[in-house]
Amino acid sequence: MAHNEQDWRIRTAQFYESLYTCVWQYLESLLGAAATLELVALSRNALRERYPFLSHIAWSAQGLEPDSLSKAIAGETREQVHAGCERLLQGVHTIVREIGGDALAQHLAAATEQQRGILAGVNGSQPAVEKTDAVAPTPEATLLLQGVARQALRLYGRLQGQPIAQSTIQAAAHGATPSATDALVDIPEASKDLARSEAFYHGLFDLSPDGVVVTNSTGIILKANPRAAELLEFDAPEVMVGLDAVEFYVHPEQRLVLLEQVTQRHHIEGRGSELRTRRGRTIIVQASTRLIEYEGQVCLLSVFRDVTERARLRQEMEDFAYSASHDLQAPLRTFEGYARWLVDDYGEVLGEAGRQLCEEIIDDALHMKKLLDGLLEYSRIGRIHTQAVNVDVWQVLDRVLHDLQLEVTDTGADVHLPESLPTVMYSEVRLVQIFSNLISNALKFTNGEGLRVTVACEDQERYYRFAVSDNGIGIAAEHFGRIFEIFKRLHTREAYPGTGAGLTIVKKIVESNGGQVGVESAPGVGSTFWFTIPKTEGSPCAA
Amino acid sequence: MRRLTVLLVEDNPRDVRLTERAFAQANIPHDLRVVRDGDEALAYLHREGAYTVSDNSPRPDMILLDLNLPRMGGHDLMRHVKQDVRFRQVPIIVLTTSGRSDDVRQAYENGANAYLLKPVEFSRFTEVIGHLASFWLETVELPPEL
Repeated sequence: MAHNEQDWRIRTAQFYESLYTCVWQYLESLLGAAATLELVALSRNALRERYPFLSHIAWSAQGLEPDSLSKAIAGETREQVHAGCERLLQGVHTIVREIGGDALAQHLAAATEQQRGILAGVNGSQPAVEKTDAVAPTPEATLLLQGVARQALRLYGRLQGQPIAQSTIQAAAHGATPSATDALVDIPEASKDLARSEAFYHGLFDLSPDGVVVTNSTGIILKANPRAAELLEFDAPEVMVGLDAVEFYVHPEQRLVLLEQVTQRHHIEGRGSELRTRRGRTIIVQASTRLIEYEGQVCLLSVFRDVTERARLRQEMEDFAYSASHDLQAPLRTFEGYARWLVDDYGEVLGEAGRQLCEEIIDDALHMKKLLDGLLEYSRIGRIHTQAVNVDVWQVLDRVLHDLQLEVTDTGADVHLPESLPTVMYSEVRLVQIFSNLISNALKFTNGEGLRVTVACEDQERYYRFAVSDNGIGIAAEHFGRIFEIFKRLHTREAYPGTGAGLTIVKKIVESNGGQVGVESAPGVGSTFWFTIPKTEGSPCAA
Repeated sequence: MRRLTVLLVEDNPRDVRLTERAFAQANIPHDLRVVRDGDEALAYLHREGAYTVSDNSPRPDMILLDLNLPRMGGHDLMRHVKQDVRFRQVPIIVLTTSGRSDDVRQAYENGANAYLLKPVEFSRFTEVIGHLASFWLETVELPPEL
């Protein structure tokens, strides 16, 4: 008798364990682990009073904890266990119906029933399925669960940062396996919904001004939209199906890097790549890619935009700035050299006034040289790609402060550094440029004693925020936008020397590395210049 | 100090004038010969055209080369000179305004012995020429005269 008692517990625990695992996996693939965990917890809480043992079943982000079910049911009666376990299943189904609609609930039910069938095949008999009728939810319980479901929906929305779209889940349920569609054939309402959302997505796919391509994990194209075919110079998207996406890459290794990163992070945004079209033309595209389930396998969904023209114009602009600033240097050498020559060899003839004029020519020629250097540097940030490496911000600041030692001593500034500083993925040269510009500005725009310069770092979830603050002359709010424009200055060169290129360079470096830059300041109080460095490398062409 | 024969390959007459002055101010005994581009430089070295009389074209101890030149440019000239057994020993010093990393790399690949940026400030230019001359005249051992 005791043996029998043990036996039903083991069999029941095994049965529901695998049924729950099946349901869990299904939901997790659709909603993610966090929302699924939330969903299970909500259904369990709704049944807590009637079936206390359900609260003792342990769930984690990986699903049902092994053995927790068999421990939870120890000491419960057979009827109570069956009813509770089934009600939990129904609770989950009810919430799923509420969140995802009938289509999804039906599909989940089909998957659960299929699993029941498999289990019945394995175990020979299905324990207590005949009890199902006895535990049909009461109207009150259903109402309670639906309320809970709406709560779950909100929770889910909060988890994802946006409310879940019914059509998304329906489309996912539809796309998951062909059998799902079969199950839905005789549910007119759901199929209408589904047909509508399908038509919607088809329209979106066909009309998209961006290329859309689905590739499998080995890179074979499974689906492409008309715009993708147009961009890659194919006559029709169908022709692209079956081709290897790697073949389109000018640098095929980029595809491997993409695959690796998208596997880790599930989605990649705004990645720039060069592609070769069927006719051999090279185009530059910006693509966003994410992992999706398509026709039962894990695939890559890529949406890409042709930015060739934009990239060409930018390149042209930067080349122009480079050559202009470069070629303009030759006459400057003549101005400076000849004016110096006049002073040195003909100084007496020129007289005091003439010599003064020459000195001013020299002064301006040297200033223009600095302007050109600024322009040259600005154009370089886009043209010259520097490698992002692990950079210790301590070392960067150490170097910058060493280079600015003279200015620090001259101003008698008190420089404060934070207690800890991170290591970031960045080009070291560029990070030195940023801090060097910001700190030298802080040291420059001051009007007297007691200058204090503080470097701060905040470790945020998605980025690091660095700030350089001073108690210098400050800036009025109406100038905040202007100071980042090239060669824009708020003071005369006599009062505060400089070219007005520094902050422009900082802004360009920060933004081309996916960060943001800004200022907080008040006249007479001081200024804080801040910038961010994203924690995940996401910039297509880190400058 | 022996006299340094320098072949300056430079198309801008004002830069030529400033270079001559820089050599004079650096107080280096020198014989500065000037050609305008790569083709003229090869004619000088091979004693062709206007350079058939050897007095007109003493063998240079050093070639000072601008990169951006009309006709044959600095990079091509370097390739020619460094492939020619008669002249490959002559040090070539690139003197240019281009700090482009491509130019720097290519120059060294083509056998440049040094790469100098022309400063805008004349006093600094004189300094650079002074360093250059004292290095090649007093510090290093130049190839023996043929």
